[in-house]
Amino acid sequence: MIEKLLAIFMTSGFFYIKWNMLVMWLIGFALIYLAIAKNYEPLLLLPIGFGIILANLPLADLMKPHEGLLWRFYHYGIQWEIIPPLIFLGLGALTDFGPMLARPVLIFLGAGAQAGVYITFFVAYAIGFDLKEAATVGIIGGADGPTTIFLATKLAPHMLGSCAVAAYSYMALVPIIQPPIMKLLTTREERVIRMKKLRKVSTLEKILFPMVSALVIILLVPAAAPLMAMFMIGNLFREAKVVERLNRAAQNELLNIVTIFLGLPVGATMNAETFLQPKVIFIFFLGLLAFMASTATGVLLAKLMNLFNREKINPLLGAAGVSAVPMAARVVHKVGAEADKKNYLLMYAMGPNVAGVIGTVIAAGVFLTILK
Amino acid sequence: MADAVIVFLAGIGGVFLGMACLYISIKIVSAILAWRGAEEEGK
Repeated sequence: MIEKLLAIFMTSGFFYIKWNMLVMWLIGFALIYLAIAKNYEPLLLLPIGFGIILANLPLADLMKPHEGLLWRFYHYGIQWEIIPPLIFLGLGALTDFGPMLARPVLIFLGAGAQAGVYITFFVAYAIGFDLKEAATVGIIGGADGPTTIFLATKLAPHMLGSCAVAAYSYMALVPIIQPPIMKLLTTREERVIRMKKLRKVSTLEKILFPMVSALVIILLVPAAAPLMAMFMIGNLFREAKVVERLNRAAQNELLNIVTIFLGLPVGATMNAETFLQPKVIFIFFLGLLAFMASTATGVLLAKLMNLFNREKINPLLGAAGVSAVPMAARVVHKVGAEADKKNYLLMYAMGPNVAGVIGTVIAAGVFLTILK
Repeated sequence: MADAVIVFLAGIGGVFLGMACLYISIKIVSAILAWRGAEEEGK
């Protein structure tokens, strides 16, 4: 009788729990806590946190290749490059390129912030990551979760979970990370610079933009095609105004569904054996460096542009070049308003902010072209 | 290290080149639209 009970107990997972699994549960619970109690990127951190716990349950085999449920989500959704481009479809449908088209020169601030990606890449390589791993760590500085996941899957799948968690965690911390750097690199006189009123952008320009930019960017960096193509078709749905059902579906139902299927398997890639390594600490440290460097290079580029432009740009706008949309733009507005309450920078900051998304996609495409 | 330097330079160069191409495209499109608008106004 006792032997039979013992045999039944041996088939349960309780008997196989290891200490490192408990550590992963704590990490999973911590992310869920941050999502629920602190509202830190809850749409992603909550499913990622739960995915971590599920992947570290003994005998459940949810990530067992070809059999586990979460493995199927991971394999057919992420490894097959379906979910990140679908997220971009939704983001395209949500994005208004009007502020960027009204003042195209601000596009370059979206490129300036990508310098932080390459600085971090270089530092990561110098401290011992290989080229592909260093690229994956560097792209965290783009502050774009789907692009980070897209690149990690192709270059360093073993780092997917940690890089995704680092990217989304720091995106939630943009209001804390960015302001001190922005203030350090600018004077009060620079922070109160008022921008010239934005011109009105015609509907035709907004319709033409997704088509023209898809052609230009995909021809230049073909490796960026999956993300760029879906981003721009989503935006065309929005601006064409004749496929409102598709536009709404892309913005809401589709984006919500793929978000669920993105978060769970990303969290599930973080099993105790691969995650609890000293390298992961470096990934988080370098991720923070990437965010800081991207903010700094964006601001510094704006200051550099002011040396040559008669019409001055408020250098705070450079910080919006990281693509955490619209959080980075809001932070720019807030820091600007601290210096001058009547200086409304939000709309101007949206230009480099959405340009930053395109910049990060190009940066990922360049990494893939050279390293894959 | 030479490989990393190449990736670094090609990366930054590629991003700025991409954005420059985008900037020029936007300028060309808006110039054409402005020209057509002015022409139609003239009629």
